[in-house]
Amino acid sequence: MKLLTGWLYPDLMSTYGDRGNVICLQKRCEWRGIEAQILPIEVETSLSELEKVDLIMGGGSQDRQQEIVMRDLKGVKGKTIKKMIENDKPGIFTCGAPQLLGHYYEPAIGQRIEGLGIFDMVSVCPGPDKPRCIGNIVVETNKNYNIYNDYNSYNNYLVGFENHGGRTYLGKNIAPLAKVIRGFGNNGEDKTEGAVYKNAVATYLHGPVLPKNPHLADWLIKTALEVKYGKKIKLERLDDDLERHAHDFIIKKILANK
Amino acid sequence: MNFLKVFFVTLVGKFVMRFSQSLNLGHGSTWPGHIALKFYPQILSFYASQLKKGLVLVAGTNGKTTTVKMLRTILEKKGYKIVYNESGANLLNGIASAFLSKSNLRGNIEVDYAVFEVDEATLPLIINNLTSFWGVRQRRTAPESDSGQSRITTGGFWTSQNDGKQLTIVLLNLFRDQLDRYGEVDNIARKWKKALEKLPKEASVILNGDDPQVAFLGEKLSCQTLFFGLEDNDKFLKEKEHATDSVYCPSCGSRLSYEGIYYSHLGKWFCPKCHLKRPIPNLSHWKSPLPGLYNLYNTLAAVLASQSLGVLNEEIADSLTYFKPAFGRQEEFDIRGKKVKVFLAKNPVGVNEAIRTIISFEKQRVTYSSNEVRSSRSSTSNSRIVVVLALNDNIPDGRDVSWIWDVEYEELLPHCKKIICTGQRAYDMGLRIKYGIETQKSKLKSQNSKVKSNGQTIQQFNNLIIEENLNKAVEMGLKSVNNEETLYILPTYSAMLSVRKILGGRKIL
Repeated sequence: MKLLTGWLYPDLMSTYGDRGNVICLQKRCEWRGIEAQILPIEVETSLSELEKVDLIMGGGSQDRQQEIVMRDLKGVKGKTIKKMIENDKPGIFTCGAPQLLGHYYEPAIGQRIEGLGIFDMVSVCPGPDKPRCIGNIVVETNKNYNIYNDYNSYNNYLVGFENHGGRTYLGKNIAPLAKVIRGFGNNGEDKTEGAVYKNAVATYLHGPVLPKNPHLADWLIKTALEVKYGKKIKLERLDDDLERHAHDFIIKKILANK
Repeated sequence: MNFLKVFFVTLVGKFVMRFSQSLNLGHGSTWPGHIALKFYPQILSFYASQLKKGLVLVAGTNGKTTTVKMLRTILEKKGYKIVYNESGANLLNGIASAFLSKSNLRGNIEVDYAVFEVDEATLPLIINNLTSFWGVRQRRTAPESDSGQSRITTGGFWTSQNDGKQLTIVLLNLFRDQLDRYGEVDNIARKWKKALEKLPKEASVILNGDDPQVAFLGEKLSCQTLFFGLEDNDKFLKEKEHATDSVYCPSCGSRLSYEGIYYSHLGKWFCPKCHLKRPIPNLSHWKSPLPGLYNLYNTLAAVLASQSLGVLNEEIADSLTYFKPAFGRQEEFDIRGKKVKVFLAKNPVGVNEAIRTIISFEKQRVTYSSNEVRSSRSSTSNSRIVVVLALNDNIPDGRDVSWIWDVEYEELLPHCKKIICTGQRAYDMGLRIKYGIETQKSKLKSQNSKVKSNGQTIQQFNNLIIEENLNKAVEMGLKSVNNEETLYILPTYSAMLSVRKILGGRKIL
């Protein structure tokens, strides 16, 4: 089996160790004998190349870089990504990337950036002098979504670090990825964190998110392969001892710290 | 009234300083200043006004401590009396504490120059503090407000426009560091720019021309601007690193081009669109007393600043001959006949440069020793380094540890025979190295299939050890090196303080 991960603008959108997510997806495939390839999706990437991608990944960026990205996504590239997500291809969008998927993003300074409108949500930055949402975060995945209780999960928590100025508000047509146990989440108000649409996941969690949450990584890999090959896939279990220690550490740390 | 205030603040400050030092509370370098600022917010201007020659502020993500130490060394050798802040104590409270430590109870200081390292977010505060004060001096005849009165009676930093007192700002670089504390790099640059625009025209600004965002800060300033940068095409990197920040034009936002990159985003840059380009450096060559390209930049910064303060080249060269690194920066320890080197490792660019320096040390060592005992075969295998990676997530370290994924540990791993991960986030560090090792393994496999080599090389990667306890990790590291080898320790800030305690029992700053 083969899995091709498309990495959105590695040059522009890789602020918080996001390449860890890419390495994680790649290695967890290779350890199981699945051939994994990474395709950087850049301004120069053609549509036919983009369409071959089985899984999309996007990371964080600073406001200025985000504008450059949006300019490129405005045209056919954005439409193609939308079609791919509508056709159940999985994606993982962290930090700044979720803001691109919504209807719009209002940065701290400058004009409102129109998003791709794939996710029914909006993001607003209250201003450069308003406090950012910063800290370790623990969330529990949404019970109504099939990431919850996936056979490879050893618990239903996701852990990470969040650092975002923007606040995201979900619309009616989208489900949160998780419920905030500790931390800010989407906006620090409604206890929601991230969003799921079809098989695409958006989250403010970084750290990076996948190495420390291998169950989420595996869910993405499994789903991508199932969509690609049109059959049920059962992934081999891996030795995740180190991963679990790193995961549990945050839970312990943050829950002890009331 | 003012006299009493100064007396009171100094007394309390000095008492707190003595108290925390004698109990070894470790806050001697920030507490007194904190308290003093509470009671007397203008205390910085009050002291700065007494400086005889001038004030130098050094800011930037990496290299502050080393640059300040170099500047200090140069100015002290010249016979000047200096006040400086302890490494890391670079917020307003640390600076106030430094002044307090030199003050008598009447609030007088006998100091020629103040040389301070300043935290990225604090730089604008300090500049505002001093220049708003300067503004008051200018409007001497203006009606006095309550706060203005006390300011004027304290005297100005620039008592007259031509008294020759110098304000020098040295800006080294802007990398990604502790994003959780500072917000984003662009944000800091914006705040710096605003602050610099308020500088009086008598001030000098010393900028790293090779860092596009820092160089751009010099645009349209009314004061003197000087640039340092490298002119050495042999030092260009062959490949771009991952931990790169501003590759976009600070003026028009299009992607910058480089004639060559020295490291991270530092290099000979130009904008193909708006034709902004790296300014021609006022200083580009000087012999660095410390290894590592980053130290060459620190040296250029310190030398250029000293030149602008009127120190002669021979005097500068003379005073830097026996320069010793600042604590925790390539600091060397001798433990039971074994050599230990500590490299403060706090952000991707810093760690990448540390890794490069360690590899170059080891290559030198291997060439020397292969002439003696070791057969040339075994010494070329190269994987002999023992390294302790200590990752903490306290506030001074940055609570967000995701930056370790932007470090090129992969370059170091093939040279290592043992990697010990430790600190509060030992498992995060271990996980990062696990992936690093796996990446190296697949790289080797693909090479081996072409070159046909033995399987021994891959085996060496299995030496990843995770030991949460820092004491035990250091002990384990020491046991793993013999007397001719060096143990390298790469700790984050708070881990570095503990490592020094473990290694030396020397006074912790």
